[in-house]
Amino acid sequence: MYIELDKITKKYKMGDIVIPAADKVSFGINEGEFAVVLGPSGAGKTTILNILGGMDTCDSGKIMVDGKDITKYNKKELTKYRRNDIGFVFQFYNLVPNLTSLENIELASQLCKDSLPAKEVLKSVGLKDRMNNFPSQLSGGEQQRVAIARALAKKPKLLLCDEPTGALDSKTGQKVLEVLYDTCKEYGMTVIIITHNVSISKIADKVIKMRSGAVEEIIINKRPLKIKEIDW
Amino acid sequence: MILLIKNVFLKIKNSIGRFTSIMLIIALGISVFIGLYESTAGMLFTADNYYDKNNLMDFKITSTHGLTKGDVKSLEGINNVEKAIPSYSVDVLDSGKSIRVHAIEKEVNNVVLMQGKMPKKNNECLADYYKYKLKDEIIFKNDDLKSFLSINKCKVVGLIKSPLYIREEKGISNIGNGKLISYVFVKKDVFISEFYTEIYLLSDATKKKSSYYEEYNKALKPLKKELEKIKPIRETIRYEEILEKASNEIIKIENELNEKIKDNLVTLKKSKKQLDNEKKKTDDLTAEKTTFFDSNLITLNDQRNNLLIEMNKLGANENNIDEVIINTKTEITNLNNLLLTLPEGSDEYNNIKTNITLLEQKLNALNTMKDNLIKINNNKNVLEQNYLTFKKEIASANEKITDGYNKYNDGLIEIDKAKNEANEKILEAKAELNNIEKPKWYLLNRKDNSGYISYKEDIIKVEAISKVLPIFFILVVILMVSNTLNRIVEEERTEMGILLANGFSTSAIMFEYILYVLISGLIGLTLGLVVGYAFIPKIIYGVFLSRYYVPKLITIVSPLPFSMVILLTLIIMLVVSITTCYKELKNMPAALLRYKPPKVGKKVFFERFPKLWSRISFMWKTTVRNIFRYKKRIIMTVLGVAGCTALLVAGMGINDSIYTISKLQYEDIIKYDSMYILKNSVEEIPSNILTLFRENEIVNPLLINQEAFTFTFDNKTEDIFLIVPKDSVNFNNYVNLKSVVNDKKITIKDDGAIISKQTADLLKVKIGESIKIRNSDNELFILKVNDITENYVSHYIYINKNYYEKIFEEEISYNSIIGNGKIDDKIELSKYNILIANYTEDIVRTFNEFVHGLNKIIILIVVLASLLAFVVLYNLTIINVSERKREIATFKVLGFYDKEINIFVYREILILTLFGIIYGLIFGKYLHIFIMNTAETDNIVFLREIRPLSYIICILLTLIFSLIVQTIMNKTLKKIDMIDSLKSVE
Repeated sequence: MYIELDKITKKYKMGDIVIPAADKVSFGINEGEFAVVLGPSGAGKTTILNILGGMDTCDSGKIMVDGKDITKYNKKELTKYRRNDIGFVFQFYNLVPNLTSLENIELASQLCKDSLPAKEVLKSVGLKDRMNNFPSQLSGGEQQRVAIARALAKKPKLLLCDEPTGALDSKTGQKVLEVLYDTCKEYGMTVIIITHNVSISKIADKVIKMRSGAVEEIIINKRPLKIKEIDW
Repeated sequence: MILLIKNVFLKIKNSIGRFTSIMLIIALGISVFIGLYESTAGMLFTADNYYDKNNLMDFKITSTHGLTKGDVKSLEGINNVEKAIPSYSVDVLDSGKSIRVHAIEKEVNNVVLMQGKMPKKNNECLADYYKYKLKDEIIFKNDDLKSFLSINKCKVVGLIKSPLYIREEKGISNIGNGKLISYVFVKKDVFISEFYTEIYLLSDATKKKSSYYEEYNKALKPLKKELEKIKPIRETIRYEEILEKASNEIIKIENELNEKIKDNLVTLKKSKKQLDNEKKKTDDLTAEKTTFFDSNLITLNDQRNNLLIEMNKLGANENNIDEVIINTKTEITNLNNLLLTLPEGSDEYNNIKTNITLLEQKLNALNTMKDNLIKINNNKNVLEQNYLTFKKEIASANEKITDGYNKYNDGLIEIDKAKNEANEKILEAKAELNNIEKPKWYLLNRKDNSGYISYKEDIIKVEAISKVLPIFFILVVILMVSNTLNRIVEEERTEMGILLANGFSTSAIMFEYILYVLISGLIGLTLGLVVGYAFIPKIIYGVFLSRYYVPKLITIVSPLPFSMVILLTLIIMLVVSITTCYKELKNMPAALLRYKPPKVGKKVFFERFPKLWSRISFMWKTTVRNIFRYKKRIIMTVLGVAGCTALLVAGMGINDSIYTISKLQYEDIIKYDSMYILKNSVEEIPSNILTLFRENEIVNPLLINQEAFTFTFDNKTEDIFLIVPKDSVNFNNYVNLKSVVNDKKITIKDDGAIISKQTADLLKVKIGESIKIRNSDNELFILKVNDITENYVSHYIYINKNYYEKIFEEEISYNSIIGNGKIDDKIELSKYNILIANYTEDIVRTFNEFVHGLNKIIILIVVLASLLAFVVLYNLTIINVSERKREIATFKVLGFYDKEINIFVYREILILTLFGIIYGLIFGKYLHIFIMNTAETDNIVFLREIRPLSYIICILLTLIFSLIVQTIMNKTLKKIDMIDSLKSVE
């Protein structure tokens, strides 16, 4: 397995109560796989994403990414890991408002040694014409596409998307998803999408269903649907 | 409502950094404003209170010829005079140092007894608290002491302070080395002077007016006018009095002299009469006795001649008479023998017998003759002897008489001479009478007291600073509060929306923010007032206490600034919070709940240079765009930092101006150690002074003539000193005349003047042009400017003898000597006709003493400005970070290292800080010039330059604050959670 989570446990202390956000979560994802972590809010998806993305640490368990145990990383190594190995797509895009679309991508790509040409990525998300626009001049969908391009440009080992369509209407969401799917397949990217949207899971190679901080079920789609085929 | 109030406290807790920074900014602003304002106000009040309590005179009148009861009476009669108090003072030497002896007065210039008691006996006195101890015995020395005082020493029974002497420098004395060192007060009865030395006036118009303020000067003006009116009248009266007295004196002396001459003449004449009598007596006696002697002599001679004739008849004379007698006797014996041979009765016998008888008769006759002759001769001898004695006696008597006559004649000549001399003297006295100078009155008021005036001048220096500083602080306060509040409101617009949606009224919500601001404002206000009233004035007054003998500071609360500060703070707080809240609250709740779109990114000016633009990193691009995006913040930061830097620059600059001036002026330009001002002008250094100099190892002294003139510019009048050295070449060793144009040494030439730089600047004259100066009689002189020399303190014109004589059309004589070295303190300079010795080191010391004091004030300002700078930077950084939380979290997620993020966040502030510093340096320079302009007194022209080092220190200080703030912020930045980036936009 390219990515392997082994009994990841994370507990939050809220006063006297201990809430298990993730309880012995284990699953694996192959290189180039398009995976979806599915579950209602409070299921522990975001916790897993944070830990997997090097933004948070776990209490116990092991995560192997491309043969390296990231749970052993210290703060600096985690930063380096985020910098070189992870691409993020946020629900609210999180573009730097003061940089143009192109610059937002360049900002990310200059971080790592081996990056994709910014203009090319922007072209592949279909925003070549909006290259010199500032985020506030773009629609939500466009902003999210820039964000996807920004994540892809780093040529990360793993692309993590946190509700990428959560802030978009269904039509736009569909379009964004399509772009995400197509480009990932084009670049052979390993992708994990976190969502509560069941429809999205239908296009995934692998679906990890979560509930109450634990993995409920891992479904492998033999034949994932095309994006146009799914219903929102 | 309670809920809202609770919410306010929660807000405070959550934004404690911001809250504190607002509070501190307000506290700082207020403490500086109040502190500086009330320091100067309090100091002036304290001094005024001291003067009023001790009845410091409003006017002191002195005269060159003393003052009389008539003067007092006429002064009492003029308007505005509450009391005219005649008094005495005299300068004496106490072990070589000049001190002033005053009479104790009950109604004016009261002394403050610090220790001991008031004198009861005549030989007891009160003395300067700072110079004497109880039981000290002070011995007065003054050649003229007896005409002033009935005592020549006194015992100190009380130590005092006097409002007349509030400063270490007490003024000029007419004896000793010219410097008044201390003072004592004795009972008034001790003074026996026939006239008053001074009259003190207390005005009833100035009673309730504060000294040092214009109201006092205004109230004093009518009295001054009256005094100026009465002055010439009283001067004339006094002149006539003196004249009359003097001429009476002359008449008296004349009469006395004449009387004496008359007496002498009478005595002389009496003695002459005696002499005449004696002469006559002697002459008579001589005549009588001469006749007697002569007639007797003639008789005797006749008798003798007759006898000699008789004798001759007998064949004898005086010589042979004894022979003839013996012969006759022999003949008789022979005849007798013959007779015996002859018969008796013979003819022959008879013949012989007859012969014998005849012979015997002859013998008898001869014997008788002989006896007679002897008798006559004896008588003659006695007579002749007596005659001789008599002649001698007469001769000596005549000699005496001649002597007497000679003496008489001498006496006459003497009297003549005495007469002439007396006449001459009287003429001289009469001539002198015409030469008696008209008495001159001096009308001195408080301003002529060096302590009184320099106290104010020093306060003005502080005041100048206090005028400017608060404006900045208030400006910064307004900016910071508004900025912070803006941010808070922006951050909490969702909360405002929720509250609005839940039915809270706009005013209730506004109340929340107003309350937030007011709480911080009021705490800041209180803190500021406490510090401003309790600490700052004391610190500043402490500086003054080391130089002035004034009582403890009375802290006053001036109603205007006090209420102004409170009102202003409240108004600013209210206006700022209401306007900021209203901007948001006028929106509908729904709009508030909606995400506020970020400000549109904009291309900036630099992007027009793609080559340059593409080279800089994205972080830099963001920074540059950010800087230009939030214009308000640029203004805020730049202004805030600029203000603080400007204050720092001004603070350091004041120090530079004053400190470097003394160094430049008294080390680089003026190279002489001492200047001796002579009582009278001379052509050459008097030999006794030369000896004095030699004894004190003062070599190469140089005579100069120094006169004060004035010049006018922009309706202002400044004093200027005209200096004429006797020897221009030697003068170059003492004053470094250096061209401002090329820094080269310049020499004084025959055809023009060298003037000091600031004079040239004020008058805007160039080399080759001319300047106009006026003397004390307002006569105008025009001098050609040959060159301009570097100079910092006072205005000077340097010319040589030839030019002087050409311009002023009079022979030059010199009134001062400059030299290197110092005369022994104990030497009484007035004996050498030296008015005063001015030592350069004393000037520098006084100068530096105050600079030292001023430094404390400057340090205070610098500390306050630094605090302000710090708080401003802190506040701005907090706001900057809170605005960027999301962006920063995103950067973190993207894998930026902490260091990169810190630099990114801080770079923006640093750039703005740098801009602020640049503006601050420029602004500070002008602020400094403004302060110096205000602080400048008539005699010192401050350097407007600030040392580069000071600029560097200011830059570094601001950067250091910036760095400290950064360090604090780094922690905050580290704490920003990456998870925040995932959250929805608030």
